[in-house]
Amino acid sequence: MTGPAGSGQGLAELVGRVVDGDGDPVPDALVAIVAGSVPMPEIALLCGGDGRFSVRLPPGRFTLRAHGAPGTGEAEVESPTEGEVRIVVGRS
Amino acid sequence: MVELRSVTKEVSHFESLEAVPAEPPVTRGHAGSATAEVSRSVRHLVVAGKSGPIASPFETVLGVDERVRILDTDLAPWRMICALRMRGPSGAGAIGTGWFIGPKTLLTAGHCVFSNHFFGGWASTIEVIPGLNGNGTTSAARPYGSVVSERFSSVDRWTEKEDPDFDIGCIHLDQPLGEVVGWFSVGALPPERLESFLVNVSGYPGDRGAGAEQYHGRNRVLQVTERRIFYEVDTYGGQSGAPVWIHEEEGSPPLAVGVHAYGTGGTPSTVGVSSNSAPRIIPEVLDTLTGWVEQDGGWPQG
Repeated sequence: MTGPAGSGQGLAELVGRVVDGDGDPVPDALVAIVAGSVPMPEIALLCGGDGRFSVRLPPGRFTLRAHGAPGTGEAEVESPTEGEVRIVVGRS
Repeated sequence: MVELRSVTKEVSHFESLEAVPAEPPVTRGHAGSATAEVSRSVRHLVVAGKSGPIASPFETVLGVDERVRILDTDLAPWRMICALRMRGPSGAGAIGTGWFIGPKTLLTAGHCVFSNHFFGGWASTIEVIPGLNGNGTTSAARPYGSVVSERFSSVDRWTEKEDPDFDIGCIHLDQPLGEVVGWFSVGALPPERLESFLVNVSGYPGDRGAGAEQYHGRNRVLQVTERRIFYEVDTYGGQSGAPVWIHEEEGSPPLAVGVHAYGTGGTPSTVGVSSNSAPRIIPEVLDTLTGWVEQDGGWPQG
């Protein structure tokens, strides 16, 4: 049956940061994977005080949605990806 | 029938046990020793049985997110439901939901205790906060405090293949916090009994209240497969591990029948419906979770 990439094989680490409209880190933001090429569980990632988060994803396209004090924001990512993914929250 | 093998995170001072369950179709729940005051939310929100339409709790408001915040989380059954704060070995954090099934035992999604995606394996620590009701550490926000555990279990089909059909996990506590807040009855109901039942799902989503407020949703079972139960209830990341429960009739106690784990993206195309889903409590799962409770000292006699 269709499922997440089992046993951790083929996963690539994605590192991201949640920032506000000025580019400042949003501490304690939450990030959920709301759409993807493979089923992802309904967990939410908890960012650190520097707005950073990390997750290991299989190859594919994913939509990450962040929630922080300034508001909500989304980013589309293609895994594997190089560099840090930034999600801007609170932008109108 | 697939035989499930219990897999427990290795901890030096803890002896791993194979599941040695009894085979009750339903485990006995407990309302807890805390106040027996009846929750208004239960009266207004919780659905029971199979018959009748589902009325909106706010009949003058249409087209809104159907989830409703639970404010009296210090009362049963809401206090049996816990916000989880997970940490992996790297320090990476995540939030989820778990619920008591025994005095020292919580059931949750397998990916809340073991995930190659989120923790690179087993979680290191999980903070368990029964009935969390807002940010902060006051007694109003945390009516029953919180405890931290480092002992978790899942099943081999989850830890080896991360198969969504087997996405269940367990948190073992040292403290019998369940005696105070109570625990759910859990039942392995056959598909024909579950179909069309009205189900309740309550947990801690990340898109509302920063994962610190409990939200309840309800709807009808859409489909039941060998190992999953499918329903259309508003949920979001952070509600993974929440109880999916029924009331067999009005006024009957809650009976948990699944562990919420996936949104619509987790529904196999072969099922033919767009819905969210939970691994179903089937006899093998009931045997496994009975073993987990017994590993923690079991249920009280009588």
